[in-house]
Amino acid sequence: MKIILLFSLIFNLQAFASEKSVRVSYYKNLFGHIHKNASRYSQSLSTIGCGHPIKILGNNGKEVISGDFFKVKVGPYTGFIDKKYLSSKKPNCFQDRYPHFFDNVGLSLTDMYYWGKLYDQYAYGRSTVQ
Amino acid sequence: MNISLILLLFSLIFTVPNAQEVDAKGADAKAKEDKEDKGLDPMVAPIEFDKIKDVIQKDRLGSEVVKKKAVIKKKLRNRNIRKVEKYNIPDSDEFWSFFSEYWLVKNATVLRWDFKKPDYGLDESFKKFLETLGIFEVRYKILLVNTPDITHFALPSNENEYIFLLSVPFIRTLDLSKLEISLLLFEDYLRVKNGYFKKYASIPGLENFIGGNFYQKDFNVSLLEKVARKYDDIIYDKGFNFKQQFDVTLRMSSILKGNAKWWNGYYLMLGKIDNLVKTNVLYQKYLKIYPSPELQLSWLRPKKKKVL
Repeated sequence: MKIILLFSLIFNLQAFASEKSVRVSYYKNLFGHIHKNASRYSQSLSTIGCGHPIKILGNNGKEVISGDFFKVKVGPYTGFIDKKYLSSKKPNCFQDRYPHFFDNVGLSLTDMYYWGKLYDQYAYGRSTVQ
Repeated sequence: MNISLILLLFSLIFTVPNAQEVDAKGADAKAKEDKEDKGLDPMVAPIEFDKIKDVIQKDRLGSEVVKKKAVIKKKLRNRNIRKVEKYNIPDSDEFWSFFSEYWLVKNATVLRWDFKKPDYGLDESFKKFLETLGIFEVRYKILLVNTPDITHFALPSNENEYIFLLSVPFIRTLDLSKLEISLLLFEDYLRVKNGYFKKYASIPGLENFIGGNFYQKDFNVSLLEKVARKYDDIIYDKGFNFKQQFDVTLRMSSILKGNAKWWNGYYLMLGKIDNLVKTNVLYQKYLKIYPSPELQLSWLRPKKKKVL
């Protein structure tokens, strides 16, 4: 039993160690969160702003996807971000287009945290021509 | 061998001072010559551009200078424009979306929207509802709030985009179906589309502020604070007036009349709300925001014709 446990641990460690960055994407909402697990309600590891570069992790060149979430690495944090919030090109962010307006609005760190949470809490929809 | 080396050394000692003397003499002579020919040497004489103007024009160097000056001027102008642009204020389309979310963020603790909620599938049911009505290319965000203080509301956003607030305690208390929730959202959609919210929140000075620029001016923070207070007013306290409610109710009726199930659903839902606000203290404020379900029902009821 102990041997099996040890082997599974070694295999898990190897799998974790082999995860490398396969590409870089950019966060496209105003603010957002890196989640500990692949869920929008999961604990936030860090708050990020629009245009933040994000390393998408993968195994053998293939992205690690869990539901709608990519496994990512941002700075020292390894976590998960919803696919729909990422862009392959650097987005034209609101805070870059209106930098002084954005600065003068006076957002606190708490506001930025909640703003990131807001995008996780929305249910998005769009009516389309069938 | 040694003798030849000594001879070489002596000859060197004698020749070096002589050579210096010759160089000095040569330099003096050259300076004298230069002095005489000063006016003729093109390397020393100042260039008279007037005389060579024709040559420059023939070489097109003059036009090149003009071009380069224009490029520098353009670069400077663009740099200045970019500097000024950094002080731009979002235009109407982007401002309302930003400000509605700003208000939601600032009111996060009151509205209590940051909570784990079940997936009711409202995004899908409302999408089908709109598509059945033939309303396409409408983007929306539904935010469920965990408070009875706000029952349902739509905030202004980008063009063809809507932010809906919907109270989970409200829909649970009334046990609303997906169709009834879609009807509520659609009522709110009509209110935003009619511009009631924007009209109420548009305080004097806001029209000029939106889409403007505050380069070398003070940023008007108080204006944004006033708009935020208007948001508070309309959402928590004032709501909509009778005329607006009458127009929305009749519009709902005319749109839904083609589908008897939906029209009846709307009528029955208003009946449920009317009953709730009359019996549940938590929802008595509803009448201030949406006056009033009872009146709405009476507006919808077919009028009896008097038979003479």
